[in-house]
Amino acid sequence: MDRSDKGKSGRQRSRQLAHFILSKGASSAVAGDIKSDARFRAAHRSAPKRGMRETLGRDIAAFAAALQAQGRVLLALLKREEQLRRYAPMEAILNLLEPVFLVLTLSFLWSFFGGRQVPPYGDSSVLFYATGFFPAYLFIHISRRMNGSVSASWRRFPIESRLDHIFVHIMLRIFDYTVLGILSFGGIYFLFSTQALPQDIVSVVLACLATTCLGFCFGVMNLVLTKLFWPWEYAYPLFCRVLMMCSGAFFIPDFLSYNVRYILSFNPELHVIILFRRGFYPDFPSLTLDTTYLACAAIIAAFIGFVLERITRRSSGR
Amino acid sequence: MIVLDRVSHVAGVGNQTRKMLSSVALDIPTDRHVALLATLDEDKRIFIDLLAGLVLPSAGRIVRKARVSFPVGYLGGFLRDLPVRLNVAHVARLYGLDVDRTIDLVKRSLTIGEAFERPYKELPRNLIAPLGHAVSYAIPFDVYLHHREVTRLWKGATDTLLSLVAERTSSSGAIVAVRNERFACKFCDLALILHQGQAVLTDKVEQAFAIVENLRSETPAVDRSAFRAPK
Repeated sequence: MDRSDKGKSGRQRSRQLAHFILSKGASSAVAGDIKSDARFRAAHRSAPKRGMRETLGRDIAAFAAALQAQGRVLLALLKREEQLRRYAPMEAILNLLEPVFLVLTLSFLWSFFGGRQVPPYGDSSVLFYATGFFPAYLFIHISRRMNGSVSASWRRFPIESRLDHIFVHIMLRIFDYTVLGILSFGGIYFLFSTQALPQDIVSVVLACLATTCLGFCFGVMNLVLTKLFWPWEYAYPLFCRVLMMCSGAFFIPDFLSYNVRYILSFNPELHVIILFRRGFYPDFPSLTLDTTYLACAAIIAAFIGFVLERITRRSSGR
Repeated sequence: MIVLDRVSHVAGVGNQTRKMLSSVALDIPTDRHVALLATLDEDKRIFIDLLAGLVLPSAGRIVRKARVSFPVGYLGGFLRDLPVRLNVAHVARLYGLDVDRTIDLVKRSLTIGEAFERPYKELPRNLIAPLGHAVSYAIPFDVYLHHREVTRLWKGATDTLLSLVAERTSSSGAIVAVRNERFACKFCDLALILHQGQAVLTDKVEQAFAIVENLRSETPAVDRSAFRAPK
């Protein structure tokens, strides 16, 4: 056999080996003696069948371990955000003061330069408008800023998921707005009106919870739509302004005509603002308020948000 | 063990897509050194990213029954404005390690000096690769994933890093996307071959390279227009 024949038979042997290996089924193929794998299978075969109680106990332990890992990731991300704020304090302060500035400026503008010397309700225009803008801006900041807060998949470690970043974003906005609420309503209490101390804190908290759920849903929608349709990033602020106009931040819905009130009542944010104001003004006109509708809207929004996040996870990378 | 459960993955975007994996069901042991070979080099990188969890498969699921590392040297989760030390602390917290010990270990692994306390964006370029490796090996994973073999020393690495790498390499598994046959034959005892949507595991590492070369010569140049994205 000459050299070319030897080479040819070598190539044939390689080809045969390749075919041999690849022919071990279209899917799973383990060629050769994989010792650890065989030992694993043997151990698994000879292991006694576990009882239902043991399996349940093992599943509960695995679930608890997964929860612990999730909590660890969330705490690590929160800690990192806190450290980032310490290293860039001006940016953090500006981010916190921006909603304070917006809420108070708009309140002042509407109360003094809108020609309205008599407050629409209560004894202070500033308080009235602040109780309208506060929940509206909580919704806008959660939904609109989510895109910038959630890192792209290649800028996260594999153990961090997109949902972790979304949760951290929401937690930070809630914290910021809690501080904002104490500062701004505390300031209004000392400077303008004693009605700035909430009479019914439960209504205030429930309104904020509902607007958080709505913000979560719209935030995830923004994450998805901005990727699919980039003009959405510029269209959404416009949508927020229209939403602000129709949510009762500037007016009392109960004083509108029936037809207008009926159409506006489909906007869940309108119910949020009425509920929020009820926390400060116990006798606030609230015929339009439908807490059942608001609760259902908030739950459905949260559900849609989770579903959207889950089904777009693969296309977003993670 | 890493279990691939009917995993399919389409690589590329738009018109440039191809089916990289097609309903692959495979158990990859995590206590061995596996050389990853493919007819297309890009497939190796994507496969490592899939195993790490940086990329999700188009279909199917990957079950990790061991602590699987991110690709060694990957620092994508580092924030540029945060000091290197705090970024390392963040990684330690993510993976449930002692923060101070991890920071100390990484710092001793590099001749980094003052740069450790400076923002990550100011880190000299020649220290990024050793930092990435120091951070990866500071975490005790069961299996380490490598986008490429490491065949040379880094300038900023200390003996601590080298001994850390040696210790982790001897006690943990590895899956390495290899191009160097000598490295694979010396370091790996299994080979995983990716070809036309299939994945095959074999213990014949030397012959695996010959197989892949033959497959490469037999495979026509990829006509990307022939591949359609799955519906």
